[in-house]
Amino acid sequence: MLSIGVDPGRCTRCRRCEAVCEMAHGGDGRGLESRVRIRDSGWPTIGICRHCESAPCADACVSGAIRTDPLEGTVHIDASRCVGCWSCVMECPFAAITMMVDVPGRGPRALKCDGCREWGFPLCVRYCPTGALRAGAGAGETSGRVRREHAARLALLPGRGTWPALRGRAGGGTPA
Amino acid sequence: MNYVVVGVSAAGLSALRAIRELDPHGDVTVVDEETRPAYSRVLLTHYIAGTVEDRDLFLVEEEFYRKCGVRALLGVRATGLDPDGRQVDLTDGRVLRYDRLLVATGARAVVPGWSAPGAGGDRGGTGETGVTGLRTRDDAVRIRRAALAGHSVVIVGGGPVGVKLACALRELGVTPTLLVGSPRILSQVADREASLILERHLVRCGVRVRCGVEVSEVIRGPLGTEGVVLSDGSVLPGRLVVVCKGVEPRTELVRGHVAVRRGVLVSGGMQTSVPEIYAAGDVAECPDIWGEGTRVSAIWPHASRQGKVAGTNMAGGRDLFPGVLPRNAMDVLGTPFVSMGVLDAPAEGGWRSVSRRRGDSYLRLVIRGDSVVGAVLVGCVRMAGPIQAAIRRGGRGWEEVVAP
Amino acid sequence: MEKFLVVYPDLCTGCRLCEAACSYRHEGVYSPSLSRVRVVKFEDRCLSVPVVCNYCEQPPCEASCPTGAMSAAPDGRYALVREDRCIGCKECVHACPLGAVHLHPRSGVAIRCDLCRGDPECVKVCTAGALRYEPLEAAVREKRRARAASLNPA
Repeated sequence: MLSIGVDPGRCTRCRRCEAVCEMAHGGDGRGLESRVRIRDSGWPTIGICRHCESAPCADACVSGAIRTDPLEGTVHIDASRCVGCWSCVMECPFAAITMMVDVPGRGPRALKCDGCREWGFPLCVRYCPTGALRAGAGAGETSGRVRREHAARLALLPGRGTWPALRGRAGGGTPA
Repeated sequence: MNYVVVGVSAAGLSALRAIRELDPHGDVTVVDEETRPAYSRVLLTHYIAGTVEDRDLFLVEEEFYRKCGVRALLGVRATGLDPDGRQVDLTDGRVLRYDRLLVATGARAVVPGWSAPGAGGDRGGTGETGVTGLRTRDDAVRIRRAALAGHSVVIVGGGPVGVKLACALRELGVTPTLLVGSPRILSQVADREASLILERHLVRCGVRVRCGVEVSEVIRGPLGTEGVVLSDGSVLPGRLVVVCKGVEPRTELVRGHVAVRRGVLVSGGMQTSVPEIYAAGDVAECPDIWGEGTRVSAIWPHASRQGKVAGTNMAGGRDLFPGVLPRNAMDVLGTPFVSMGVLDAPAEGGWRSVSRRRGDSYLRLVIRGDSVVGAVLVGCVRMAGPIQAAIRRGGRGWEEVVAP
Repeated sequence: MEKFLVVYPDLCTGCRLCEAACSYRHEGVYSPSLSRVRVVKFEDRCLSVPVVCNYCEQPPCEASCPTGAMSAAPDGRYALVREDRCIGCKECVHACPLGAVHLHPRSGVAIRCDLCRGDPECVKVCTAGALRYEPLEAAVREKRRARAASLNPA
């Protein structure tokens, strides 16, 4: 599943992600179509869907509107089936789901990141200037990348690694 | 492996999917008294309001069971159980053998004495007027037809179902009367302040609300049901009386064979006291997330999750249910309302409340020690999810979540 | 004294027996993607480096977990993943600076090293001595000695 990573420490609250998401989803600039929300204070700083493998929103959806789509790697809301019951909002630990209210002719409708399927890559991640938002095709890709970076640091600095548990050539000799 | 699933609503359906995920070829039979495929009970009020069509109530298509290679015995009930022989008796005379049995028989609407068929109400009838509950699709069809025909509706019960029904009827243009036994609506799932805000909103929107009254009898006349007599002696006219006084787990099938309290007692793996027999959904009784006492918590997300856990374990996988966390989410005529966990904070030391009110937006957290154990949100409910996550992970870190 | 899984990357031969032993111990199959210890290879430099949970004193994976699934066993010693709580959000995967946490490809639940509850399998099969289960002191002592020796002109 799509692996969205959030590093709130890097977030400057520039809100470029909100602006890009708004535009990408046909918003008129008022921010009502943005699926990512930045909070000025408190947690979660960046409210965005993580496309969870066992998405609590999908489990709780009473109309089957929210489905995990393993092919696309996203958790998807079928707007035509959503009845605006607020159950998914109650379940999401990341406050990633907002409700579009005042939709003419029907009740409230849940809104959530769709992984920018039509755009090919999450635009918020592409446009985040600080790397507070990251994405990988899956958890394996994400951990693999980090693991490789970490291993490269270990390989480059034998015996001088930051982690005291490591020992390398510079330490001299074979271990006891 | 031979699986039998009795009841295919929320729990039975997710169990079925979990079983097939792990065991594509095992013999699976589902039994359900409904003749149509699994539908969403929670959508019934939306169907009554007209925002959901009948065909969208169903969670699966007619072909679903066949496509899963599952034998579906619909319109059939399980009447007897022989745990030693591992078999279940059905109303059509069949006997089903099982290696693993899932009891997902759900719960039935509570029928107070005054509304029982013999007591003057024609409960169970299908006419546009009379007395009914709101549990099944047939009930919902009846209520919608009555409302569209212009009959006055009296709702008895101020819990979530009664309130949701009142909202649905209001959306249809009907002016229902909501009779509440408690001093306030939603007394089991809201605190006093939330109840007041929501009741005021309902009344502003045209719903008639009367609290602190019970029904003592149904009045029948030459045309059928004409109204009800209330506990204070007054009379209220109404052609359709809908009873929403809670539900009772349907444990008859296993009573006497497995441990049952109010519901069927199950472990974290949804196993009953008999290892091959599992239970999930509204019929099951399990510990809460704090591991304190067992309870029945008849809400959709519990049934879904419990079914998944049961099905996974039945098919040889490994899954665990974290315990019930009672919670509710609803839209009250445009005002969202969410509540969860423990809502009554005792006056004794160690407990406190943190609350915030801004117009009709209200948030209250119930804190035990340093940990949040319950919450009520009206109006602005965006932080409901992170608050639930905080409750689930031991209750810490809530301060950052509710930072203004 | 508390022991940790200590990695000696310059001794690693890249045989991946640790991955086989770990996956077999935890999952009953030989499958590197299910192993908690993962060997990263740099073929161009003939280097292989095992990466495994460092048992951080302030684990970012636990801090980032919204549901409390990333937690410790009651005695606080061994890292656990509570499968009943894990929703597969991958916060822990992103939070771990080592890449030592990943998801079970089938169940979507987070997996990380639990030190085999005190009897690590990977150490038993590592003939090269690249993985050891020893107190931190032992690993640090040698380094301290080597440093001191390098400062001593004699």
